[in-house]
Amino acid sequence: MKKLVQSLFVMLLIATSVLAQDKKVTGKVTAKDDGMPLPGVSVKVTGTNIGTQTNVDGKYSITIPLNSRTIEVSYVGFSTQKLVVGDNTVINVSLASDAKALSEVIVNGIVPIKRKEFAGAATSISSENLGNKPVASFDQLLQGRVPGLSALTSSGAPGSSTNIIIRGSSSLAGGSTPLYIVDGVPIEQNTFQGLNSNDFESVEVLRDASASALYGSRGANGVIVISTKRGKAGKLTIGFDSQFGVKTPPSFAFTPQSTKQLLQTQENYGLLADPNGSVLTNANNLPGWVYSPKNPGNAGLTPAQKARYASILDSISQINTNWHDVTFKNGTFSNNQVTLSGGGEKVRSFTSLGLYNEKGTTARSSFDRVTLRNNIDITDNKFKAQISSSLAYVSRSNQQSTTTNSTGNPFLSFAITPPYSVPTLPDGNYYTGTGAKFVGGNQLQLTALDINKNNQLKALLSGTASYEITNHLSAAITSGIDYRETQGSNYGNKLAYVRITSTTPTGKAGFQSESLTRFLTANVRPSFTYQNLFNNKHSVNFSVLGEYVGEFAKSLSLTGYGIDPRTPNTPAAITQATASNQLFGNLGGGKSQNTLLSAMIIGNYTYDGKYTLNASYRNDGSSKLPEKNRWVGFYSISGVWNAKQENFLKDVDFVNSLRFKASYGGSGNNGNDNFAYGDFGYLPQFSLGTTLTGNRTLFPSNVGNPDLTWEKVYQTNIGIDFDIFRGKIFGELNVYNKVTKDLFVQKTLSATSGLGVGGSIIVNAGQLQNRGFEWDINYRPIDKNDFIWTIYANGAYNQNKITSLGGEQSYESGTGKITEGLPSSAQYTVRWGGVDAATGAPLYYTKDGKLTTNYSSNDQVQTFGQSEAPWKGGFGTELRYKQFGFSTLFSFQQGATKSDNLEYFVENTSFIRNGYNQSTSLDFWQKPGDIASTPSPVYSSNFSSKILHDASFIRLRDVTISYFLPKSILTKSKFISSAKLYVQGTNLIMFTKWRGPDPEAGAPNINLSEYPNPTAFTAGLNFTF
Amino acid sequence: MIKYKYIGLFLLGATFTLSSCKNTLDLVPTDSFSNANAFRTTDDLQQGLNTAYNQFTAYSNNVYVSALISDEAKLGADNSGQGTLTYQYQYSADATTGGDVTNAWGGYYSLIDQANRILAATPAVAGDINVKNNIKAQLLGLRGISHFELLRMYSKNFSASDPLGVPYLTASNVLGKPSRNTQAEDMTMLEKDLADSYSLLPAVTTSNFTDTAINKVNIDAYRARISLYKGDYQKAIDYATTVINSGIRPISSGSAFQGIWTDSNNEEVLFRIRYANNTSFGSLFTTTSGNIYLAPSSKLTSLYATSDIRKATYIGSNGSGLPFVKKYEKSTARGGRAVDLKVIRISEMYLIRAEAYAKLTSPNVLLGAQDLNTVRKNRITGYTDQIYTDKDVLLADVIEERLKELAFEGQRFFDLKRNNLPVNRSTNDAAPSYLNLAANSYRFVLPIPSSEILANPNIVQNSGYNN
Repeated sequence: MKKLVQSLFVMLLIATSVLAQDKKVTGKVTAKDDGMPLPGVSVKVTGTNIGTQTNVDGKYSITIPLNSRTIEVSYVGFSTQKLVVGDNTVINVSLASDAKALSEVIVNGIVPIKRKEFAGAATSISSENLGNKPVASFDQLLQGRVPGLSALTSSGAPGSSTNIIIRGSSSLAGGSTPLYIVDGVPIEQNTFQGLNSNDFESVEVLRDASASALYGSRGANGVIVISTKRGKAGKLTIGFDSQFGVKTPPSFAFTPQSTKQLLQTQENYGLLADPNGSVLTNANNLPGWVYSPKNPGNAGLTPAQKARYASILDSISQINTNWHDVTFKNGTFSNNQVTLSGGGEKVRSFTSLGLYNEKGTTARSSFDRVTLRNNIDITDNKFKAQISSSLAYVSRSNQQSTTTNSTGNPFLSFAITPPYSVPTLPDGNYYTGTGAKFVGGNQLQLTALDINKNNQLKALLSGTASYEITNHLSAAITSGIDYRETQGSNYGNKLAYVRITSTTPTGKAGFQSESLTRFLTANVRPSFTYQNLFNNKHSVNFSVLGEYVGEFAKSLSLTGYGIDPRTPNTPAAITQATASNQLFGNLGGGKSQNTLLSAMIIGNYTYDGKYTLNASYRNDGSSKLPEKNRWVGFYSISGVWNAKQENFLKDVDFVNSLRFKASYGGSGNNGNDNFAYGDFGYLPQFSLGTTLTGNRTLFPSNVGNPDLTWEKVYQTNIGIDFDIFRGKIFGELNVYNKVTKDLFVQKTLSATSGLGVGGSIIVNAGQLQNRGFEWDINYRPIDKNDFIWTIYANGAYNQNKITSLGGEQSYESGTGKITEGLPSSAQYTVRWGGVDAATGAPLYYTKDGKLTTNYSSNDQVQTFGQSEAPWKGGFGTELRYKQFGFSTLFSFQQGATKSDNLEYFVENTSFIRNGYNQSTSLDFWQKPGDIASTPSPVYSSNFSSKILHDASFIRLRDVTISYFLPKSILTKSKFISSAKLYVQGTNLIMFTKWRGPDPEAGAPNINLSEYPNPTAFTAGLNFTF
Repeated sequence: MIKYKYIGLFLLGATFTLSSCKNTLDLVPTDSFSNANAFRTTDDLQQGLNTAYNQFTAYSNNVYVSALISDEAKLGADNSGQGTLTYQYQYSADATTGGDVTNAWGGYYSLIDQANRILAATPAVAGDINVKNNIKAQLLGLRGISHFELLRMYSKNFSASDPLGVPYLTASNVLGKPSRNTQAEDMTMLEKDLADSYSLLPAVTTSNFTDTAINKVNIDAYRARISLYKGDYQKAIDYATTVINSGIRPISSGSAFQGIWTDSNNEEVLFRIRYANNTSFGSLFTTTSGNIYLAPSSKLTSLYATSDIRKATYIGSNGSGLPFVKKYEKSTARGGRAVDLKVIRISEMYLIRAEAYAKLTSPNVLLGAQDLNTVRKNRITGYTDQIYTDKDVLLADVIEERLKELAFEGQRFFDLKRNNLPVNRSTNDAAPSYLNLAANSYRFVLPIPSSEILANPNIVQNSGYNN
């Protein structure tokens, strides 16, 4: 009976099919939010290869075969719609733009992969989170946006780039910077100031092996793929974006003491450090003690002398300079851009001209940029070409020193210059000299007199041409160059105090340095792709590719002396050196190149939209490796199970999409920044030099390593993509295990090697593991036409561990120590034991955990956590109600520790003696029983865990409130098609226990008073005509 | 038709790719060259030799170590830790506390490695055999001298039966882990290197003599120094006599003597290391901005008579009246602290000979006193020869004279060590805890750097030090 019904049913179906006719359907596709026609939209008959695209007016026409009943309308950046044809012959479609649908295709820079067939972990950042932000280097915008990606900006100086680490550092010596691809071609790492992020359509962060293995020897640290905006067919649109703002001076948890407080501090200090009043007699450094009535050395003074001392003290205490205000100022920011976009069916173009200007929060810190981008798309029947070009000119101005412990660094000098000093004398000249009192004046003078600039020209050119040879076979070639030329000039004015007091002929004479660095990457990648669908069920995709990447670097530099201040900052001012003036300058430079050749196959098979299997193999040959190790193969294999397509889930309403995925593969750590050995490091080499007296020398400059090979990262990723409760909750979860093999570790050599005491080479010996999990979850409580509210949270936990040093000894590296079984960024110092309440002596823990007053560097231990945060991520909300938009981004890191060197300066009695100012938080031991945080002044200070603190933070990274002018107003204006006004705050609030200026600033392990990331307030408007 | 146009375009691109790829993996560096290309002409060898001379700046460690451990210096007014631990006898083998005393280990071995690399390359280089031999001789000389300097720093006083000499290297081996040779082996090999060097070197004439390169005269001068150290006093006398009699750099006095220390002449100097403007070895004592890190000891200052020209020549007084080491204050030509480092001067030959005469099995006090008086006569105005009858009195005076004459020239520490004498500092120079260093203290034998022991387990650490 059952069978009979079934048969009948089947027959009925066939009958219906037979009855149906081939028919033509036409229609128009428009955008839901503005009603504008959408050209280039794909309209496809479901389950077939029959498809078409909409024309300039958004219209299409398609013939539906007799047995097909639905069409799919899809377009990048919009939700795909599936429509039942039924009896209709005209189907007009209104597509809703959808952030989560933005990347139906994963752009991996090599071959596009449909997101539903992608088995790895990738996160896409859309243009609205990349454009119109008050930072010049786009990588700063990635913080908190991508699970598993750590983005810490070590300097707040305008135009600085960010340290990006994806899924934990996978190398000790080889670098952890990911590979960057723009419009299909690789670009130089860490120099993004010449790229205008307003031009970016999307940034795709590829984190797992299925994506990174496609880049073979360069993929180990993940790949960041940037796609720029392209012209859309239709009428010409002119866009105008303008944004202005201010950046506020840095704020610090440390408050410098006022004159009154400092004089008191000095007196308290003197009473302990100089009980007889006979040693500390430097009145410049310690007026609060030298003139103190409590100083026993003053006991024998005559009443007249005592009165004089009192009046000196009184006049000093009248001065109270706020060095923070003198040193810092409000920075300004503006970003203006004009875009032109449009074209026909065959040729479309996108052009943008951007002007970015930023002035930092200290003097002589500024950034100006002009960018021009021109993207052209050509479609001619079966031929397609995309040509992208961008040109940028950047001019940066820097202070001589903002990243060191030098007193010329304003971020230190403001904190340590005593408040009873003044910046300038009544005659307007800076108050300069030797000693603490003059630190601020010297710094300001040096900043005012010296000039340190660098200008950068960056050109990016890329093109892809493809041709469909048959319906199933196409050929393509991608080619491009990335060219950067940086010209630096540094002028040292001879009138600066540090030069006037120099004793060497060159030191006195003022200097002019000029440098030129050129970097070129050339890339060519031909490919053939075969794709077919068999029996409507077996989808096959197969590509064969070849690749050439060449990198060419060259640099020149010169330094000359004897500069007349009337001709500042020009090489023309250099005095020719003679035997009598001794103004011998320096000339230098170098050049290098490397080549990568590759052959690659990529295959993809999908069964019935349910099961996908991807595999790739790439063989890379590199000039950087010795001949015997030159060619290295990398492979990946991955699979997806699209569970939603299974019968048991098909009709489950609350599951919109559910995919399980797994990938495994390997890649190498060779980027231009990521290879510890440089271009020819494997090769033992001799170089020419010059002796101390000018004789030519020839010496072994490189030991070489005949066994050198890549550090290789093997990664397993298992993940799930989901979209449930009708789009209310969607996201992605991943777990991964990333193992670095052939890890570079330091092999210490005997000094008889000729490399000196502790000389070492780097060998491929160790193993490192990063494993963790990532989440990216979005909750959309409200999803209506004019009211969309999303709450999102992403983040990751990563455990980093050196699993083997390959038999080599544990060794110190920077302030840390590389030890088997510990994280690579484990902190290494002596444990601070507080202050002995009875004596005021500093207490330290020995290795065995006993308290001691003797400091020994042999007692350093590694029990203070790590500088690389295991937990990191971001969260926030996006809300759009009618014309209003509101969005926030919080970013966080948790579990990182960092040394605070500013604290070492401002809570340290040793520096009171030098005359440096201290923090109001200084609390030193003065009498038995005192529970103090800083030891008695009679003891010296040493580096210990006293200054090592938790650098976890939650930062309100971005708040944007926007307002779209209503259509009703715009239509009256006739020519404005859309207008948006917005205000924005960047780095507004920070929740942290860290007391230094910014837990992000400086190296991950220690802050040496670097430029903190500023808080910015901006307002802007976008118009489209 | 269009189809073929595009296919053509593609093929063109692909061809370009492939053709550009040909051989592109076999790149060679442009800024340096591989070992095979390093030495092709005698000029290349000479340039390699120049590097070796440059590396002899390792000798500045002798000067610094000697000043820190002996009694010729004291910590200066502006010292904020520079050399403090060493001065206070707290140095150990690790890099943090022992850098001052372990640096020389790396410096001399780097020089030795460089010499060995060039010596290995020399036979294959085409060129004038005389030029080649001269270069080879200088390298052998430097190699021998360097091993000697290592031996006197890192081994006990010479004893043929002592197994703990230093590794003697005659070939470059980057990954090598050599053991310590015996002192006897070291001495045999370094004497052979110096003898080979001597026989290959051309005869010295007034016109070809230069004090910035190894030559027959300064090889002999070094052999005099080595013989005295080894206890071969007759040889010490013979070598010193050869050098003195060569007359190439006679002893000088007055303003000519003073000029040595500003590099305005090269009187007396048999071998020196050149320094240029921007490398200021003298700033170990006094920085270019005038901070005094290491000052002449009051003990030394009090030894000089007012009529002794050395007092004002060696010891200066700054604006605040604080004494500083004037020997390395400045070069007339090159300015601050960039003074050449004098390795051997003729006056040392007189003092070596005087000491050797006193130490002979049958001492010759008369001749010894004559040499001592020669030195003093040239330094002290109105000096009248002192008559000696007792060899021990003479010996004591020679050792004190060496302190006065060779102060801050890297000799005092080794003089005390060689003669098994203690360091006795003045209470004006040092606190009780580091006032004295007992004769034969293990600290006279400097520690081998701990990184060496870690990297090379075949090396035995000197007694008294932890690794």
